[in-house]
Amino acid sequence: MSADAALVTRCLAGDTDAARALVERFQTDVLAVCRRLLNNQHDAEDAAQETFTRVFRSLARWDGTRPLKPWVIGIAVNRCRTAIGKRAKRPELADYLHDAPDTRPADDSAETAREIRAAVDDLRPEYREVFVLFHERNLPYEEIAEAVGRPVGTVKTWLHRARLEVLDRLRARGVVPAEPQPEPR
Amino acid sequence: MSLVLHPFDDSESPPPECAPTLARFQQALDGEPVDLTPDEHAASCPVCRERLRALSVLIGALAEPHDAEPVPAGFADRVLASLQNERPAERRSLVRYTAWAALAAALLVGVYFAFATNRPPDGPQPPKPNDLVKAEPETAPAPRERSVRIGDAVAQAGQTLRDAPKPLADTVAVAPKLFDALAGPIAWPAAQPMGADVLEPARQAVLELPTAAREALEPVTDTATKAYARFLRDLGAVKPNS
Repeated sequence: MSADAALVTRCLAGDTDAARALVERFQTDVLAVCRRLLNNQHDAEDAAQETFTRVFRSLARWDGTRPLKPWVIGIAVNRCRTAIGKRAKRPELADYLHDAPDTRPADDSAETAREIRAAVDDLRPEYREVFVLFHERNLPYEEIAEAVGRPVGTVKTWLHRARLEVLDRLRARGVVPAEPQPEPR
Repeated sequence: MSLVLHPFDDSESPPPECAPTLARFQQALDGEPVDLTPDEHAASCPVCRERLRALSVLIGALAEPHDAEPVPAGFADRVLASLQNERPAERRSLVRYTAWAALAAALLVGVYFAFATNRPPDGPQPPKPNDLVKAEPETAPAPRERSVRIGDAVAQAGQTLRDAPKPLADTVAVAPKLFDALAGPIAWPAAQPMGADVLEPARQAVLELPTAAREALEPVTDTATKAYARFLRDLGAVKPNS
């Protein structure tokens, strides 16, 4: 029996320590995905908490032959989609109310990181999900496919388009070093 | 790094001649070791050259370790507490669901029996299209036979007894006299042939018959009670000074 399966078995038997261990094992990934997809700390914490509630509610249906992490991340992605759908129906807060101000120094690398983040944020939701899961959460294609419930081929196609869009948006936003000019003779 | 503004080329699908170069870009972003010096196509395609420079920026940024944002303090505790709160709520909702299901089942059974008992067993069927031509005038359906109710039957029996004609009571009241008349003229045979031990008990029984009949029928005929009532009535009619 895998470590995941053993942990799940203990959780299903009502072991509170096992439930805490499960939350602590995945909370960093789940919170990171929720923060990245929702861009709002409060919404992200709500979605992460709801993710774990759903995880425990449907733990008995988890296929023990598959890895647990993509299954949990998939639930988190679904909760984020739901939260984004609800957000679209409620009045929008002013931007400055969303999050704490970014206090990082405004050097070139920070500006580049912000530009990349903005480019990723502008992607279609499914492209953004696979980009974040691959490049920021380092999940392999198979686990992303598991998480988003699509075939690996579809995930690759989405990710390739997402990358190309990001590159072109970086070009459009000028986040590209100048082409080296040939030295005059 | 100096930033240069370029027009955004938002073409959905790049030209086919760019495909091999872009495939190398994808391999590089997949983490495969790829030579990113401009190939022959990139040397002649300004868009791909620009993409290549953007790619180097992107790869550099993605290679930077992401700031691991801390998990909020007490997050796991909140999750576990919400689970603890959810279990009683789940139990309550299960009980509520069961109660509603039982109520719905009872209603269904009630509705079923209401229809099953009220449906006329051999009622008139809707006419078929061919029957419409020779359809006879519609007649009122025969009244349905009411089921016997014990309360109604008892009330009806009581009323019948109250409405019973006087001669009935009189006839019953005459029964003891009849038995006296029957018992009187009996000529008792000699005891020798049958034996006194057989005839004497029979004779006693016949002699007791009028008394037994009177006592048995008194509750029915109410003769003594009626006589006493008449006596009291007559007594009330007597005036003290008369």
